[in-house]
Amino acid sequence: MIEVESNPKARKFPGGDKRKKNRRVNGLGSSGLMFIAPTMLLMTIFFLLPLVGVGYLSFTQWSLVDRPKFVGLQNYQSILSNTQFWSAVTVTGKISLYMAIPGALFAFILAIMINEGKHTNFFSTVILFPLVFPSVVSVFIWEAMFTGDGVLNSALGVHVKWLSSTDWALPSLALMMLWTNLGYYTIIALAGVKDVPVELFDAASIDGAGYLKRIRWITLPLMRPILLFILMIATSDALTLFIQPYLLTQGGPGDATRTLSQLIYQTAFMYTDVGKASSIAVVLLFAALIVAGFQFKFFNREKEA
Amino acid sequence: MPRKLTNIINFAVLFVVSLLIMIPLFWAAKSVFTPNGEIFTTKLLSLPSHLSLQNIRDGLAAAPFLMYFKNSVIVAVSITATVVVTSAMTGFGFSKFDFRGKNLLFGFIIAAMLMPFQAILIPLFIEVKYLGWLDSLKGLIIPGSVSAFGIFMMRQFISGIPNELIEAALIDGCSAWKVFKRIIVPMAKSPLSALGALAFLASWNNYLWPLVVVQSEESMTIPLGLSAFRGNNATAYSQIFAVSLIAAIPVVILFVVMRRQIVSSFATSGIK
Repeated sequence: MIEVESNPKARKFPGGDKRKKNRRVNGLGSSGLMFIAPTMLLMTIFFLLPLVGVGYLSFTQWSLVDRPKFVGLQNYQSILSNTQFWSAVTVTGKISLYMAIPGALFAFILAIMINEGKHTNFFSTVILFPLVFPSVVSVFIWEAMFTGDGVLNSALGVHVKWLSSTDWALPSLALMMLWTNLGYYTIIALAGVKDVPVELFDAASIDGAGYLKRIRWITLPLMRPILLFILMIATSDALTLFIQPYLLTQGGPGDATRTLSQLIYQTAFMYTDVGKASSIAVVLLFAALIVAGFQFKFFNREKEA
Repeated sequence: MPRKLTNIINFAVLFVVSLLIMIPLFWAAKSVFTPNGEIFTTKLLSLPSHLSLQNIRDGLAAAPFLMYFKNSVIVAVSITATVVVTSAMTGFGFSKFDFRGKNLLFGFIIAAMLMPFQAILIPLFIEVKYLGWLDSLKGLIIPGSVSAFGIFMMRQFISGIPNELIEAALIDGCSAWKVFKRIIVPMAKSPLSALGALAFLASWNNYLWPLVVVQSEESMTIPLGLSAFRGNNATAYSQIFAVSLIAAIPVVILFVVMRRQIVSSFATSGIK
C-alpha cells in the first residue's frame, strides 16, 4: 500500500515492466559500457575502495602516523565492553523511537486531512519546508528557542532546562528532529493514505460502529504499515544523525545525546583512534543494511498483498 | 457532520499546523530586525520597539561571508552539474544496453545507495588526504560528483522511455551518443531538473564532509562559516540569524520554484 518504487508502472503491471526493462534495444550496439565507465571509475575510487578500507581499518590500530598495525578483533572487543558505545546505541535507538512514534501518528492524521482537503500541494509543500532548510540554520534557531530565558520557556510559561538537563536534552533534540522530518513522514503517509477507501469509514459508521471502534478496527490496522515504514526511515535517520546533536548539544550533557555517527566522528577526528572508529563504522554499516533489508522485505510483502 | 463544515475544520487545523511549523522561521526572521538585547524580551508574536537593519550590516561585516558564499556556489554548482550528467549517462547505460556484469554493477549501485555516508567517512578522508585534496574545493567536489540515488532514479525513468523511439532514431542513422543527446536528455528533462535541485540542496546544506575536509577559512562553505561565526559570537543571536537567513535564501528560492518536483520526488522514491 505504500509506494516506494520510482516507476509507477512496476506496480500496475507486475512482471510486465520488468521484461520490457531487460529487453535490449536493437541496434544500439555495445557502447553501454562507455556510458557507465566514468561513473563506475568514480564509484570505485570514492565508494568501493573506502568500503573495503573501513573493513580493513577496523582490524588495525592506527593514529594516522606510520602504518596501520593489525590487531585482529581487538577493536571490536574493546567497543563491545565500552559504555560510551552502548550509550550511543541506546541514544540512537531512543531517538528513532522518539521521532517515529509521534511522527507516524501526526503524519497519519495530517495525511488523511491533506488528502481530504483541496489544498494538497500547498500544505504538503509547507510542511516539507523544514527538511530542505539548511540544518545548520535550523539548529541555530532551535538553540535560541531552547535557551534558559528563550522563547519556548516564555511562550509556554515554564522553566525547563531543555538542553542542559540530562532528562530533557534527548527529547528536545527529538522535538527538533520531528519538526524537521514530519513533512517527509507525512508525504510518505500520504502515498499510503491515497489508496485507502474512504467508503470503509462511511460503511462502518452506517453499520453503527462507534468512534473508538472505528479507530480500533479501521484506523489502527491501516496505520500499522505506515507506522512500521516510518519507524524504519526514522531508524536510518537516527543512524546518520550528526549535525544536529553535534551543534546543538555536542552530545551532552554527559553522553545524553551522543549518537553513533557522532561517536565515529569523535573517535576518528578528535581522538585519532582510526581503528576503533572504523569498527564502530562497520557496526553502523551492518545496522543500516539490516534496516534496508527489512524495508525491502516489507515492501515486497505489502506489494504482493 | 455536513461536508462543508468538515472541510472548513480540516482547512483550519492544517492551517494552524502549518503556522506552528513555520513559527520558528518567522521568529528568526523577525529577530533579524530586532536589536539583540530585545530578542528574548519581545513576545514571540509581537514586534520589537523599532526595526533596524543594523544586524545585517554588522553580521555581514563580521566575517568573510562573501567568500563562504562564493565557495558554496562553486561547490554546489559543480556537484549539481556532474551529478546530473553522470546520472543521466549511467541511467541510460543501465536501462537500454546489455553488457556482461550489468546486474552485478547495478547491484553495486544499490548497495552504494543504501550505505550511510558515515560508514565510509574515515577511509574516504584518508584517501582524499593522500590525494592532496584536503582543504581544497576539489576535495569537496570530486568525491560528491556521482550519486547512486541519482543513477537509480534516472535508470528507473529512462526504462520507461519506449524502445521503439530509440530504434526509429537508430534507423535514421543516429549514433548511441546522439540518441542520448537528442532523445533521452530532452525526455528526461523533468526528473533531471528534480535531481539537480536535490543535488544542489544537499550540497548547499552539507556539513559533515566539509567539516572533515576543510581546515582553513579560505575553503569554508557557508554552513562551516556560519558555525565558526556562531562559535565566536555565541550570544549575538540577531547577527547570527541575519547571516544565516541570508545564506538560506538560495534554498528558499529553489524550493519555491521547484516545489512540485521536489515534493513528488520525495514522495515516490521513499529515499531522501
